[in-house]
Amino acid sequence: MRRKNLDLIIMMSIVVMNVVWALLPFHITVIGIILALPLVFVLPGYALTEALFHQRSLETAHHLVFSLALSLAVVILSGFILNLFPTGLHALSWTLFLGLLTVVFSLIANLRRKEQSNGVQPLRFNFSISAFILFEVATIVTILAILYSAVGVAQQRQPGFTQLWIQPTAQSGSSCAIRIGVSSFESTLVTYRIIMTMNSTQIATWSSVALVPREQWEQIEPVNPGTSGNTFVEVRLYRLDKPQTVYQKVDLTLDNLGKGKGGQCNNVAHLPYSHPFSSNLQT
Amino acid sequence: MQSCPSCGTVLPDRSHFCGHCGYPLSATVELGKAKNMRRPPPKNTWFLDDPTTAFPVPTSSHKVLGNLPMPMQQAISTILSRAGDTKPELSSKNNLKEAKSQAIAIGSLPVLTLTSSLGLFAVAIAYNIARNGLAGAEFYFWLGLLLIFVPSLVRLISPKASRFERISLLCVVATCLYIVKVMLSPLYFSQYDEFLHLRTVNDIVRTGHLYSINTLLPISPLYPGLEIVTNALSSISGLSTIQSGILVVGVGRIVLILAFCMLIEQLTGSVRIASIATILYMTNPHFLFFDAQFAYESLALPLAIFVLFAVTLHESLNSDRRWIILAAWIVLGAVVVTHHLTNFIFDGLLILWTVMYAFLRPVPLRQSVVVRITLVGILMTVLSIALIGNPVVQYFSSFFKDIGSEIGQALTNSGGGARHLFVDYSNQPTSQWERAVTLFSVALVTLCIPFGLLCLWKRYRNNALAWVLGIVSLLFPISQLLRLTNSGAEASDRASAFIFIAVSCVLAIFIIQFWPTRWLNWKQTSLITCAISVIFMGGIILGAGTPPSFLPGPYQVSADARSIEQEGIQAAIWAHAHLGSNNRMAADRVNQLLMSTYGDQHLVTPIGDNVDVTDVFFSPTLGSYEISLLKHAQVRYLVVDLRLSTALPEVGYYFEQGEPESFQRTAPIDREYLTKFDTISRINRVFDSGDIVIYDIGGLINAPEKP
Repeated sequence: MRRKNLDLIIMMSIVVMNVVWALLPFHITVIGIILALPLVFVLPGYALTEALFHQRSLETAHHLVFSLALSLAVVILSGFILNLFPTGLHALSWTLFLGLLTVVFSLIANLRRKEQSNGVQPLRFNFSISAFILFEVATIVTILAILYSAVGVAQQRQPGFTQLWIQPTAQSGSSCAIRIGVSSFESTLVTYRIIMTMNSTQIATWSSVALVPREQWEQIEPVNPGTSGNTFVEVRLYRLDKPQTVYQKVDLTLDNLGKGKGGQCNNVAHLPYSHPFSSNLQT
Repeated sequence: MQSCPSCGTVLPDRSHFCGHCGYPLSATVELGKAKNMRRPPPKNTWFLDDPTTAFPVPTSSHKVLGNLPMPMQQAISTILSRAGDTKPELSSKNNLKEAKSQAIAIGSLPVLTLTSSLGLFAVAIAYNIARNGLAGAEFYFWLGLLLIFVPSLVRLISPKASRFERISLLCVVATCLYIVKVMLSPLYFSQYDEFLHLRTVNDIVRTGHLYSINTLLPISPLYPGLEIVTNALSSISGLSTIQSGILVVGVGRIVLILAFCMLIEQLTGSVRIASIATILYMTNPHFLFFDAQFAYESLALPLAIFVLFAVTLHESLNSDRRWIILAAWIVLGAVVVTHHLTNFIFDGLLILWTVMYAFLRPVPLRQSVVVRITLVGILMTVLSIALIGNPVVQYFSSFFKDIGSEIGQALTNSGGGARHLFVDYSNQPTSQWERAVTLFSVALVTLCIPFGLLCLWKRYRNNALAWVLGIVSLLFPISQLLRLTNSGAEASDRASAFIFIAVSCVLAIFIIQFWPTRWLNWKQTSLITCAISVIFMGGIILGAGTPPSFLPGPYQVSADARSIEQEGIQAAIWAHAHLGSNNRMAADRVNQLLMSTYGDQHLVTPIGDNVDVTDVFFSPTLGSYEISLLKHAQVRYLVVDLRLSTALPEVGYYFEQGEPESFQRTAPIDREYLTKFDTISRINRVFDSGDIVIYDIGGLINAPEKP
């Protein structure tokens, strides 16, 4: 009995392990992958195939393609069912639902197997040692090829660049400030000079900002302009190895500084407008 | 009964000539006494009667043939006899019954797996050479592909391989070809369509629900089959969306190969024909890259072919037949919600199959499983289209309208509909040898189809599915004519994945009939291998362009995969981090993708918002028209990539297909057009990374209208 239903027992075990794994607070990706692959690609389809074709009328290759295709189809259709629930499509809901389906199909298969079985002969594998060695070498070469390509992508030489940005930001109280940021994606350490002007008047300078690749620099600079009219703030970024050339440049026009609602610093672009197309826009 | 002394073919007593080799039967011998069975047919022999065919050549045909020159009569007679050969694999030991033996005979599988993996390594070398901008990438690329393809092809043509070996070899080749595509960009998606679906997956991950808004491809969230499976794997395993997507498409590809091989096996009863047809299917222009990308067709196509296979399997099962129908319905339901085009085309195939079934009537129509599957398929399709807001009809009608108008323009020479062959949109010509391979590939397939159809008629004309495949294969030459227009070329490529289901089967039957195993020697095997390899290479060039256009390398302007690089990705990541999600943005084609996926922004597009703002970028000044356009579209941010002004767009346009001078451009867009926003006082230049600038135009579109 146990041997006859060994496949179903193994499936149940994998389902249980997946559920336990989903409930654990910590996760190791490799184990998650090992458990998830059969649950998504094989188990639902295999169990359903066993439940439908209880007379084992399908030969091995047909059984394989039925298991894979039905698994994909069951997962797709399950997604629509999960979408109906408030919990939606998340790790736990997926695990529970696919696990439940697998268990139900397995139970049906178990019940129907008792009725009849004409028993398809199992495959007889006659692999020689040399064949195994060749397969192993082929697998290793394939993995090396993929790794070689991935390393090639990671190490591909691309021109370096530096990001400069500016954003208005509200300070505590009623004062206004400008947030300035620089991110370096250059290939080596680069030293920058940053100049900030307000209505063409220089108000701040950072003469030596050294950033290694992938390093970010941010500064919040309070601004205290006049009481009326727009204020034009410009930030220019220079590389110290090319001090005469503006490397990047950003600017911002502030509207009626210090007089925004709630004491906020108003960028002219931040005036509200209604949106006709979508309700989830951040404007 | 008697047998031909030349070739050993079994012939009826009344025959005067051998139906295979044309040998005159004046010296016939009794069956079982034939000698030298592999001897080629003697020269200068001809015949008119064809005893191996089900229907003898009519008298009128004899009269017509009799008036032809002798060599032509001989050729026609040989063709007719070979096309009708009922046992082309007579000497083969692996007919279907024996081939289904449960014993595993791996044959050359280990060695060929190793050669395929070595081919993969050669392709990896090609990619890295191309990434470093060095010469020689093309050589390694083709070498690698041929190492994957050719040795396995030779083995599949050979009659010696077992069923297990054939199916395993097909899986190995298909997997290796899929890895060829994956290695192109193993760390992130790089194909245009992949980003469209990545956005839909990201939305499912973010919201936990389906049917979000995707302005780049509004129809994608309505057909979320691929995204659902990807989300399931990603959620349960902890893999990233991209890694999960790669695995899902990979499994889909295995299903495709297995289902296709078994479909043809059910049709023809020969695993050898099936395996050759399957490897021929891999030569279709979209197999290597397009149908291996993370897009809905890549998953729907395998499932749809599985449905066809399930229907054919129904006929051959002794028990559990009704459950086959249920399984087919379940998978058909998955196809319906995964990809509209695949669903429509397979509905069409099923309808055609039903019609042919009704015509041939092997069993009463109401008992036919084909009818039941077809009706359910149509019902599900109608329901899916009837869903509120499903824009699929509009989506297709606009596409076919574009093709129609371009064909009209091309015919009347009145506009830009005609496409320049062998020259890409950046005016890079295709090399002579690549042109020759492409043309030879198309010509070879086109010329072989009639012979394949003849074989189909002679051998399988009682099978409704064979009729369907024969009719569909006739679409191949027609689809090639569409290549003369811009949209038509895309349609032709898209159609190839479906038309090749029929073409590959027809060609495989042609090969088996015309080169029967009893005469198959190394010369003929080499000839067939060379021909299929040329079709394979030509298909790749047709579908993906010449290698420089799809191999990785330095940045190119509006070149999809070659335009995806760190500066654009990092700009999109910055936008997400500093501007928040779903701001309304306008950008060029490539930055649309990046801002939508990495940046989670709402890109304003004609297809998603019914408003086209590309005029804003092509205008020398920002006048009242451009401002009103931006106001109407409620665009908040403009993303300007200054690199656009450095070269012509590889895909034919920078922003949208309907932009000024799309596909016809002779000079790059003027840099001043792109930098004009710097001079407008109420536009904020909030981000600058050298090449990419983001402008905040909220102040401009909120400004009061001038009187």
